[in-house]
Amino acid sequence: MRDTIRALAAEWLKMKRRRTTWILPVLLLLATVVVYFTVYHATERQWIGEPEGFNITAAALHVMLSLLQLLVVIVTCFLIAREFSWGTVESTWVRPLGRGSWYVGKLITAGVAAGVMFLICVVTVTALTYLTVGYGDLTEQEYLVHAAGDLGWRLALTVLLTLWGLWAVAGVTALVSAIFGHPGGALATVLGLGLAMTVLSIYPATAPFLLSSQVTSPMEQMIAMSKGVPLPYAWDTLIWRTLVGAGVWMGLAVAAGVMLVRRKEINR
Amino acid sequence: MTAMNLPERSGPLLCVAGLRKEFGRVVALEGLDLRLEEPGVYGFLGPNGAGKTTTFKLVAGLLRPCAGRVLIGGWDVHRNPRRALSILGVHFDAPAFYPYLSGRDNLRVISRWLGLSHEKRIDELLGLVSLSSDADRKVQEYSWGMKQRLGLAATLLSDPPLLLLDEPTNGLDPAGIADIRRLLPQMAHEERRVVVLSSHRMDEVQAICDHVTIINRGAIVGAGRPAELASDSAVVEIRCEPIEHALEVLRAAEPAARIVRTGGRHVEVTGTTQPVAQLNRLLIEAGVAVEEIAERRESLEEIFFRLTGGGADA
Repeated sequence: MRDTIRALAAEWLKMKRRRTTWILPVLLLLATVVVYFTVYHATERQWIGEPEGFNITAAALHVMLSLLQLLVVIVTCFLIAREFSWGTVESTWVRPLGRGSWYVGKLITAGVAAGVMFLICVVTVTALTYLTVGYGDLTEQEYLVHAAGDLGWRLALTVLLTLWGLWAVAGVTALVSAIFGHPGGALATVLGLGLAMTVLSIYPATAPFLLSSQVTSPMEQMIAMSKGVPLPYAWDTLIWRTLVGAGVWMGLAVAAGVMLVRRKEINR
Repeated sequence: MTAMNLPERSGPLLCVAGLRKEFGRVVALEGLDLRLEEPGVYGFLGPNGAGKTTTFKLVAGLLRPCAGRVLIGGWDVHRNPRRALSILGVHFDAPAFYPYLSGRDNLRVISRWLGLSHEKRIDELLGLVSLSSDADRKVQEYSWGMKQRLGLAATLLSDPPLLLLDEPTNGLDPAGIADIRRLLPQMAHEERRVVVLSSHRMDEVQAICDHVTIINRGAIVGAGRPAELASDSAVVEIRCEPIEHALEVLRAAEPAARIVRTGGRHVEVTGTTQPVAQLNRLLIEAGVAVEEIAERRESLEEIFFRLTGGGADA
């Protein structure tokens, strides 16, 4: 635990000195605004679902989720694989800091980065919806399936499950980055895996086990919920699918990653 | 320099036993044994590919041995890495740093890994390696020599009693080399550290090392104090005519010696079992005109080339 805190302190120093750390959130904010207004105008023209209320928030977040997944992969990849390609991992691993703690420190940093990026998207989209459409009559809309009482927490649940899925993506990316030790190779492999999962997800039998489906399922639920159309997943199924499914992916990736870095040889 | 930390130990500072490492079919190290306890500067010499850096990486836990053990302060570097590595400071040739951070911030990052927060110590070390004025510049703007200096400062950050330095003077200017040559014996003798120095520079090793280990093809081929290694065998330099006949006589008289023609009328005999006067008499009796014959001690460079088969660079 003490080692992990030390690793996190070092990561924070490295991150706050990087210009990208401060530029990326601004760019993400701008991208969210652009996506929001694109969706806003599209929904006005009946391109995406219903024109009213919360639909815009869900639709914009759904679009942003693809970009967020890509950003989480890139950030995690660079956080870990760069250490190998620069050779700085050599100078870290010859210090009395557990390699497992070093890896967990990286994962937590990637997780915090994913959380901050997701928060930027959620807050921006919610604020823009409030300013442009308003949430005042949301629960009075006829198309909403859910009553006012449980709407709030169910929406919050889909948001939290999406974040959980993003963390699992970070965990798997971290493992691939530690295996490859080079950002290019790791990035290509993770994107290739993502593509393969997307292709496989057309088979209903495989979809529940694929991380790509587990990440997007909560947002699909949110979209359906906001449109008032029948929900694609029963709530129990959704929770198990995302929480347990993505959790298994993350657990396996973290355990394999820690084992890998403990045994990995460095011979530049 | 601050007072050196003395982490918990349960054995000699460095004990390497039967260390073997293979990379595929290539045997990089073949049963290496080392035991270092007394403070001093220990030279580690060998041609390229001899296994010096592999040994350092095995000791630092970056590589896993196929056989054998590495104990640092009695702690196995793979079973108790935290305890073992708290005793060790290691500097590899071409040390890597975060290029977007300044030299000072790179040391701060290492300091955080170590759980230290001594800004004063960082300033002190930056001063020691003459980087105070460039401490706040980004490392990507540093020259090779400056990175070497920063690498040394990073190695000393935790005040370890055992230092492994792989080519620390590589790329340094003459002033930097002189600083290191002054610093290493001081760290070894005044601060009671064991400093293991791998270097390509024979003059450097001869000047500052108390003990030299010569390694070739993954095995130790010679070890001892430089003076002891030199006294093992002398070199007899002979100027004579006709040289071919002299070579025949010498090879017949000294079949085990290393006899090398070094010029038109010059020959060098290393590892002779006979005194110079006897060699001289043999040559004269065989009709060789000996113009000059003299005996001198072997230099470390000559010892190195003799033990490693010569030719390769150190």
